[in-house]
Amino acid sequence: MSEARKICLLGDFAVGKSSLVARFVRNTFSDKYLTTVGVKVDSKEVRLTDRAVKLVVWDLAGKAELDSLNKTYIRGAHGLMLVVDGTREASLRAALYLWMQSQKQLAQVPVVLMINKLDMIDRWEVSSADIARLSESVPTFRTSALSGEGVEAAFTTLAQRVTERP
Amino acid sequence: MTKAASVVQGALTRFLMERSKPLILTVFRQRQVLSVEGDPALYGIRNGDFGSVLELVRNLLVGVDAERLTVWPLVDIGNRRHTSILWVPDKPNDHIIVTDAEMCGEELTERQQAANELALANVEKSKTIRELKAVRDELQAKSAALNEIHKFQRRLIDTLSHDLRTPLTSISGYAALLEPHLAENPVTMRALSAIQRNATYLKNLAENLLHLAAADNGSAPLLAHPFALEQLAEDVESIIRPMADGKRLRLNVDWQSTVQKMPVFDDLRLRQILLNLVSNAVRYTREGKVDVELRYDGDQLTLRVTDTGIGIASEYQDTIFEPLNRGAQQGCEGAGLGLSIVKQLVEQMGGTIALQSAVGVGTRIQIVLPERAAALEPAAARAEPSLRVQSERVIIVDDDPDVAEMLVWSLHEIGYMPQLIHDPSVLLARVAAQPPGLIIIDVDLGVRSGLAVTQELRLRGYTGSIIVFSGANNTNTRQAAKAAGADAFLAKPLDMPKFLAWMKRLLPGA
Ligand SMILES: Nc1nc2c(ncn2[C@@H]2O[C@H](COP(=O)(O)OP(=O)(O)O)[C@@H](O)[C@H]2O)c(=O)[nH]1
Ligand SMILES: [Mg+2]
Repeated sequence: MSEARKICLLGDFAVGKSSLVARFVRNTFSDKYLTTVGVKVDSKEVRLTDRAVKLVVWDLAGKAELDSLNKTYIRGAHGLMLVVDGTREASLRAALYLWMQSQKQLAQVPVVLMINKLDMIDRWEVSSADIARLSESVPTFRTSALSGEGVEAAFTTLAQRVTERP
Repeated sequence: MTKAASVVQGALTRFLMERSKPLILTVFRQRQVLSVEGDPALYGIRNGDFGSVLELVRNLLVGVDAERLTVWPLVDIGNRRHTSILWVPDKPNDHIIVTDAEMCGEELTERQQAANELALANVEKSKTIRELKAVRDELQAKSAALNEIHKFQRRLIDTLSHDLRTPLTSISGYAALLEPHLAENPVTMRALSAIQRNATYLKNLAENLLHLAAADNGSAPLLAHPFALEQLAEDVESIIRPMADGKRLRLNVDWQSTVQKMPVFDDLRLRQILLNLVSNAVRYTREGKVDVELRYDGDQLTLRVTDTGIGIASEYQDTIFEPLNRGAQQGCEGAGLGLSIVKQLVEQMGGTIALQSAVGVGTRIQIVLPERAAALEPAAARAEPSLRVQSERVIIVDDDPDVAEMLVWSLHEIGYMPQLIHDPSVLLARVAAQPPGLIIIDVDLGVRSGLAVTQELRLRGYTGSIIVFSGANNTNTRQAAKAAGADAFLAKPLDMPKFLAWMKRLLPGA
């Protein structure tokens, strides 16, 4: 049996967290927006070069800040996935704020940043300069839950990071 | 006390059990269900298949201490069904309690969905507004820039055509004056006719440019008058004849009216149409002839220009009437502005154009113009010039020395000794002292408009003849000249034959 790792998706509402999970776990996409209430937990086996890991993915209700419920949920997480909607500048600030808040509770866990909705790049507000700066401190991926671009790479990278830890 | 407490406790337990509909599973090592209390079907569990619940609980326990009691409120177990899950570790077996959170979940879902959708809509709205504003600003800036360019171009065309006219008046006027003196020498005659021909091309170009500049300001209304078909034919012939002669082409201008009455059209525009068509025909014909036919039948006027020129290839026949088309670069007729202006004028007059052409054979363009009541404005019947000559004196008022001198010279030729005056106030004094038979005055005087001076002359009771001439050859100026009291209006560049014809009419013995 492979080891299991818990990762939580954090990000403002409607940035595409549930969609990214759906793409990653079930390889599906829906353009209908259904807000997530509470938490939805999914898992998927990820094959890395030298081992397999079971990623348990916690899709949390999107908020611009961490409420008490989400604080309960992220307990014990091995890694965080910060999700930003490239077309909404404010969602980048929200993701960074959520990260900061979560650090009060979690020890230094690996983090990966997803700038989502790559298929709508012509409407992006997040600049490539911002992305370049961010990627110096955190692995950053441009993703699209719609096309699937960058999704696998982002999850695999996080899987790698969370298994490297002792 | 104890009794009350136990009653309360019992009631509370029943109430909570009823509301939360717990499903209690006793499990072995998170993998095997040993006993069940409650209704599994409430949580979508059928046929004792607890696999997915066990899998979910194992997932939930990743990262947390399985030896401790843990609660996960509001867990979506699929199909947006919400539960709270309790993990109760025990010896020898553990317990899982699943309770219904639907009451709370459903309401939350609705509220949250509505709030999030609203927030999203607001984000979109403000974004769209921002984008629209940016687009609007950009469009405004672009349109302002275009406007500037447009204005500049119009001024440029206006100035150019205007400034072309004055020197052209000198060129063609002097050339006409030279003609009788050089008639003997074939070489100088050829040179002179080349000068005339090219001056005519340029005049036509200046006309067209001015028309374009004016058309930009909204095309001027049509002004229809009764006019003599013969006069139009003669006018066009007199202008084109030197060009045709210079190229040794036969030019045939023929007119015919099947009715007694005079045609009623805007004759200025007819002239412009014909001049463009005929000068084009002459220009693109190397040998042979150009036939011009004017036909009036009481309802419509037909203009037909036929040449034996280079012709227009069929692929260019559609675009030949577009401005600045490329036909001519390909050796076809019709480059430049002329034909596009013809088309525009014909359309404005409600007429039709038909083109027949074959490369190397020739071209025929036929225009049919209806005499439309709608196009008629109250026909300002052309006032015949009154011959109120009181003396043989002629005064010329023009501040352009070249044009003035040319006029003086041409009047010398027909036996007059005109007096040249630059300053309008000097003119008024002279006229008061000794009124001349004819005053020739430029509209575009530096200090004062020639029109105002004309008006003042009439108000002061001057009854001699006045000819007004101007670089602005449009109906407005024409009308204004007439209204100010001028007997005739002549456009620059002066058409010498026409000018001399007027002289003959207005001056005795000329
Ligand atoms: N075009 C596009 N739309 C996306 C993408 N990811 C999510 N969406 C849409 O964005 C909306 C919100 O997605 P959702 O996954 O519910 O966001 P969450 O609130 O972060 O879980 C939905 O309408 C999705 O269809 C993407 O990559 N491209
Ligand atoms: Mg969601």
